Amino acid sequence: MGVYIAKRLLMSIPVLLGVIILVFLMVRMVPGDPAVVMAGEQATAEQVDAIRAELHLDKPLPVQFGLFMHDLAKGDLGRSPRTHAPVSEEIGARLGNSVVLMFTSLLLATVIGVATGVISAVKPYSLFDSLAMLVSLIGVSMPVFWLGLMFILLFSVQLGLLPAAGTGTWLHLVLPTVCLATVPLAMISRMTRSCVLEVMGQDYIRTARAKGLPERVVIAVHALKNAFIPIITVVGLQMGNLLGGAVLTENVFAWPGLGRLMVDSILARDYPVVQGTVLFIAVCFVFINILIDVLYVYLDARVRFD
Amino acid sequence: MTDRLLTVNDLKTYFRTSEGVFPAVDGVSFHLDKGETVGLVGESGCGKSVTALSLLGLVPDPPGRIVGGEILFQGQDLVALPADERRKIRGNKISMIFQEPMTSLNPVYTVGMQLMEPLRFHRGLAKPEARARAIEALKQVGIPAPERRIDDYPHQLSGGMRQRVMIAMALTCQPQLLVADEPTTALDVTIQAQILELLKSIKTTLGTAILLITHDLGVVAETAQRVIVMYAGKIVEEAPVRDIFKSPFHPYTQGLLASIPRIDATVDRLSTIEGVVPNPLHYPAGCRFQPRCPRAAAQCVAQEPPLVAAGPGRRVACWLADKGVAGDE
Ligand SMILES: Nc1ncnc2c1ncn2[C@@H]1O[C@H](COP(=O)(O)OP(=O)(O)OP(=O)(O)O)[C@@H](O)[C@H]1O
Ligand SMILES: [Mg+2]
Repeated sequence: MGVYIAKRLLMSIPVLLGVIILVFLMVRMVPGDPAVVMAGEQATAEQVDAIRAELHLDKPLPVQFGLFMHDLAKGDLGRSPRTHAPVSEEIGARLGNSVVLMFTSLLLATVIGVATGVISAVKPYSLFDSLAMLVSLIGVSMPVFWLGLMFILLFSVQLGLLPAAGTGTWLHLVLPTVCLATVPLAMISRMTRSCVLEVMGQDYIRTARAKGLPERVVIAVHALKNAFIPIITVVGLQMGNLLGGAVLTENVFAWPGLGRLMVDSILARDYPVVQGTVLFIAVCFVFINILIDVLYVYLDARVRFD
Repeated sequence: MTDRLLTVNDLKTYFRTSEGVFPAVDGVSFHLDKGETVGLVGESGCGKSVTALSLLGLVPDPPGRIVGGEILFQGQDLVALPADERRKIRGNKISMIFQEPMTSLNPVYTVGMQLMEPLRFHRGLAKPEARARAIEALKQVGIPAPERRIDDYPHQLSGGMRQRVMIAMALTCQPQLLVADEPTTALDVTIQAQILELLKSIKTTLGTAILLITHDLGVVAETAQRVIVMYAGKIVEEAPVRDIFKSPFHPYTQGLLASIPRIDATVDRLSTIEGVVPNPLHYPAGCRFQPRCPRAAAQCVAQEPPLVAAGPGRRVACWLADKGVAGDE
């Protein structure tokens, strides 16, 4: 297992290096002089030059990249020329909000998704199953930002039930959570259904029934524990979806998280922050994936060798 | 009459598929006495397993359903019983073991947990007591070191051991009837013999009646007192084991017997039954065996032969058998 993890970590190095190069180049290929944009409309030529010097934009690209990597190696992501705060501080300030949003969404998606999936599988082709699968099919293919806007239109503008944007109370969390949870929920529900259906067709389920166990015991004790392993994998795989969806959701609902910080920084040509957030998210993504793989191998091994 | 344990009358179990409704079990009647072992034989797909599942109330619905007939067990019609009452009989008074010992146990629970379940649900036993009884049951089916084996997971046991565990599980509540659906088919020959020995000893020590499903007449000869032959969803012949080997009435039974190797006869080639099992969606007119029957006559195509008495403890569904064309030679 240790060797496996080490191998996965080594393999992630080229991925992260690729991300770094890509982000570094992309930020610099966006049209418009970042120093001018950042300095603002009333800025003097000296101010613009000062920002340009601060960001090393007056140096050639390879030198810029060398300086960037040099700082990165020391764990320094640089400072935001906008707020003058270190990028790591900017990320730290928003990270909590993103984690909260992703956690509530994943919780919602897992609880409701697994529940509907199990109910669907227990009574396949029933009215509930057909409806749930139709709704989840729509859910899987729903563009997150459009869904968010529709939520705001309906629940905030028309009905005035929930705040459309910002943070503060738990009510603020409702719409972004539901919006971000929709796609993973639909996926988890569909996958749970097929996992449970497959398990329900196994011989040992027939044995459990032949023993005269009540159907709820057959499902809860004999079927679910076996369906649990593939379901965990599916839930884990939704983490990637969640990271991407969070960027969109945070922007639609003005949720002050990492995704919002990233988009704001792109618009302001705040290079260091863009680089920092993208890199941070990429690292998270890679590590979550390694974690899921390790978890899966571990769970699978338990069944086969325990 | 007092010995009668199970009477099945005109049982019909149909399956609804996308191509249409077909009768997997089509008007089957038989009986089982207390403590008796009856073999149920026939080619693949003739409805043996569906008959067994019908007895247990385990026919997968959809697509299957018992559409007619009655199953009288200790005088009670199981078909008419509400699902919950039927469930209380399953694994308790009627148990079943299956062909696939490798996959019939739940891989994520210990043997002990799975053995204790019937005791806990049907008898309401507490864990320590159920565990003691489970160890006892493992000992009974000849598993060495049952105190240790009880905490094993299924994959730690061989196929033969697993089938023993399945049998132990089926016996924990001391059922009156054990339905064994090809319990030895998936095992290799020496293990097969051991499992058959075990089933025989169960019959003598516990007095459990056994409905032994198999397509192997050799197995029947060794274990059963009576044999029922099924073809295409119907019973075509029923007889005491001795009689069926000596003088089979039905041409299908004769064909089955001719296709097993015998030590006492030197034959150059084993004969087989010509043709294939008919598609249950399109059964042939008249007798269902008629297209494959070497002796089929006009009447066989025109009319379906009823299952009628043919001597002591014997029944046969064949026009020709009645006229004495088939039978003793
Ligand atoms: N779940 C099911 N759905 C649809 N058809 C089924 C189902 N189970 C059994 N059948 C059909 O019912 C018929 C009888 O099957 P059954 O399993 O009873 O045969 P069998 O005599 O036990 O054969 P085998 O020796 O292969 O076990 C077959 O035509 C089979 O295809
Ligand atoms: Mg079968």
